[in-house]
This record gives sequence, C-alpha cells and structure tokens, in this order.
Amino acid sequence: MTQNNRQISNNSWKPFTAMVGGLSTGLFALVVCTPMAQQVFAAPAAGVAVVDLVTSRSATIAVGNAAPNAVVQRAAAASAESGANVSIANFAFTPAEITIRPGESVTWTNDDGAPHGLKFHDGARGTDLLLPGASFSRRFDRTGTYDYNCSVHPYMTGHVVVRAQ
Amino acid sequence: MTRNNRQILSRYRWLDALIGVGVLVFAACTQILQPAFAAPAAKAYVANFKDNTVSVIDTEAGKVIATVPVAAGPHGMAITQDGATVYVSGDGSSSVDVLDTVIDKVVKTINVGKAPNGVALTPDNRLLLIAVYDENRVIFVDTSTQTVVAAITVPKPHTIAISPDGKFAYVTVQDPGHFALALIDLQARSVVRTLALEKTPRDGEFGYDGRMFYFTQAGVSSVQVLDPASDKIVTQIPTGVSPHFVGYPRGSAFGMIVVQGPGELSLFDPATNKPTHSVKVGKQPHWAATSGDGKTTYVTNEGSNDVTVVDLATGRTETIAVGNAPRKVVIQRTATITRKGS
Repeated sequence: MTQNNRQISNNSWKPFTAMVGGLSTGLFALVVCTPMAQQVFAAPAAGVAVVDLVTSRSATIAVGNAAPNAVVQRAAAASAESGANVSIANFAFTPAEITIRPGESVTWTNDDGAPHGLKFHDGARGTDLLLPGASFSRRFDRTGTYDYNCSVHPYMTGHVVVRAQ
Repeated sequence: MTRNNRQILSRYRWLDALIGVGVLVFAACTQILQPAFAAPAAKAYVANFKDNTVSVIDTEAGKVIATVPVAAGPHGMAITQDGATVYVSGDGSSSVDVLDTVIDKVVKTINVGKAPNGVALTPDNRLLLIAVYDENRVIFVDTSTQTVVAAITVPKPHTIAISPDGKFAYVTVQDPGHFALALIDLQARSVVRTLALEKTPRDGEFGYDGRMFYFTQAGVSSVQVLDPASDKIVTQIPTGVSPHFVGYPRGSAFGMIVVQGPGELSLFDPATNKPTHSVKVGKQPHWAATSGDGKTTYVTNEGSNDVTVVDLATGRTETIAVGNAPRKVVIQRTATITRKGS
C-alpha cells in the first residue's frame, strides 16, 4: 500500500484494484470502523493497524500479545472543560442541535472527506472554508437559539441552544 | 566623376534600392507573420473562491499570466465554444460576470438574483442558464444581449447540465427534505419531471455523447449513472470518499471523477462503468476540465491552492499554483484568438 502511494506521488496511474489490496491479504483478525467509516482499526497478530480510509495511509500501534478484538468510541468522552463538540461528518452536523450554558464554547471539527464551512445566521464571524481535520470554535455569552449552516453546502443546518441553568 | 564611376554608383543605387525593398518586404512579412509566431496557447480559467478572482493559465507555459477580479465567491463557470467569453457566477453576490478572454477583463455584469450557483451554456451558445440558489429559480440569459429573458421556479438549484442536443437540462435540487433532479425542457422552458433523491445531489454532467447522465451525491461514495431515456439510475461507479465532479469529455477514452477525500482523479470505462485507474492530485480537489483534444485534464485543488495538470495517457502530473481556494475551471478548446475580430 505504501509502495503504491509512492507510485502515485511519482505520477503514474494506479490500478483501481490496489485500493483494497492491503485489506485483502487476510492478515487481520478483526476490522472495526469509526462511526464516520473513515478509519479502520484492524487487529493483526501483534498490534493494531489503523487505516485511514480517506487517504489509505496506515499506521501500526503495538499492543498486548494476540489481541483478538478492538472497539472504538463513537466520539471522544466529554472532558472536564466547559464547552461542547460538533462533528461534521457525512455531510451533516452531529449533533445537529446542541445545548450549552452562557459563556461556553462550541467546537466544530470537520471529520468529513469534503471541505465545509460555518455561516452563523446572527451575523457573527464564521468560516467559509473548514478543510478536513480542521476545527473552529465560537464562544456564546448570551442565551438564545443560534442557527447556522455550512457555507459550502447550505442544506446542512444546525442549531446551538444557549440556556442558563 | 567619370562615366564608369557614375555607372558603378548607379548600379550600387539600384542594389541599395533592391536591398531596401527587400528589407521592407521582410519587415512586412515579419509583421504579417508575427501573430502566427506569437500565437498564444489555449488558456484555462480558474475561479478562486476565497480571493474573488479568476487565475488565467497559459496552458503551454504552464503558468498564471493574469489574475482577474470577479464577483464575491466565484462559483459556476462556463466558456463559449469559441473560447471568447467566460461566464462566472458570484455565490456571495447577485451577479454573473462576463469575462472577455481577449483582454482577460470583466466587460459586463449581469444582475441575476441572490447566490447564483451553477451556470451552463446551450450547445449553440445562444442561451446561458443560471441556477439562482437563494431565489429558487433557474434563469435564462440571451447571450447576444446578455439580458435575462426567462425564469422558472426550481427550489434550491445548484448545478445545471444541458444535453448535447440542446433539448433538456438536468438541475440538481438541494432543497432540504426534497433533494432531486429536475428535468427542464429548454424549448418549453418548464420543468417536465422531477426525480426524487434520498441524498443531496452535488455535480451532474452528461457524457459528451449524451448517452448517459452522471451525478454525485453528498455522503455517497459512488457515481450514479442515469439513462436519460428512461430517467432511471442504471448502475453506480464505486469511488473513494466524497466524489464531486464527474465527466466524460469528448476526445477522452475514459470518464473521470474528482474524489475529494483521497485527493485523486479516478478514471472509469464508460462502456462498462467500472473504475480503471486513479492518480493522486492535490488536497481537496473540486473540479476538472479537459483540453479540447481530450489529452490533458486540469484539476482544481481547493485545499492546496493549486491546479494539477494530468496527462491522461501516462498519468504524469504537474502542479501550477493559483489563488486561494480554487474551485471551478474551464479551458479554451483551441487557441485561435489573438485580437478582437481576428
């Protein structure tokens, strides 16, 4: 797979079948996908192989001997810091509606394969280009409902509810 | 002065005159032939979404030779068959700019309504169709007068593809909850039927021969192949994550798909609708345009601010830096224009 990626960067056509060559070797005991199906965690005999389904890049993480199983959290567990996270994946905001307290922030992360953006209907500054992997945060000080949409794909909509309690 | 000397001088004057005439003829020929020697290459036009500009690329030199300011958020682009005019819609504005490629300047701005998205020219270039997203309509512009001559209601229209026979157009409809393809009869200037879709349609294009209509959808890792004769999806072409532009240009043996996630140009066989090869391009590729001879494809890379030039025969690539967030691209079919009226 790595060799094939090198060939790509050396500017030559890559046969389509090479895209799944690494996964067809039968080396993996188990394959687990992330919620957005962008990464595959596979457990071979002496480690966990992490395959990025977007770029086909892979990395191996050494674990205990003969790991037969793997599970993946759908999202990072909530931290002690104030604020909330919204994932942009599969052309949708997840969750599409989120509730926070005044003074807290929301961080949007593009977990998708496509570029997205954020346009707030109250006129606050957003971002018109949020590339995959990039994040954007906004702090909300006043109560109310804040509507927004993706600036690249306006049919993608979401709301932030700021409620004092 | 002797008679002989005068004869010699006279001969020299005759020679001088001959040489003088020769020089003049040569100079005249040079002047006449100069445009042929200095004929420019076909130019590619790349819309930089965040710069509000269009980069003009000399395709032979492989470099940007001009940068043209246009309306905010350049979105849709179309170029006339003769390559003389490029239309650019401004998503963040209410206008479509008319760019004269002889002087590479905007010569007219057409007011079309808020947030114009995709644009498309009929094959005879007499009409320009514009998807005006925020106004929920598709408008028709007479290109001879550059004025709006008709408008029909289409909710949240995004891109427009006109059939090669000039009779119909498919419009991708991005109305939340009512995603669809709307089929417009161009003579009747009305929507004749609508094909409901579960997922949001993105780009849609006819193959150059009009046999099939190809389109992509948000969150679907494949291209839908629709037979316009039956309005039915006949098959799907598997892709990587987030396929966007799809096309089957004249002169090319392959169809092509710009796939954003892996950053690649994927080729497929239009006879079998199977993917065949792919080549790495830049980050977050968005669109592609192919040269008139079908040999070279220009792919815009929104995430790396450049254009990848792909030799379709070998898969070799080169990269040309352009402006910020390049999205749409069009290319002149031939380089015939040297000056106005020539």
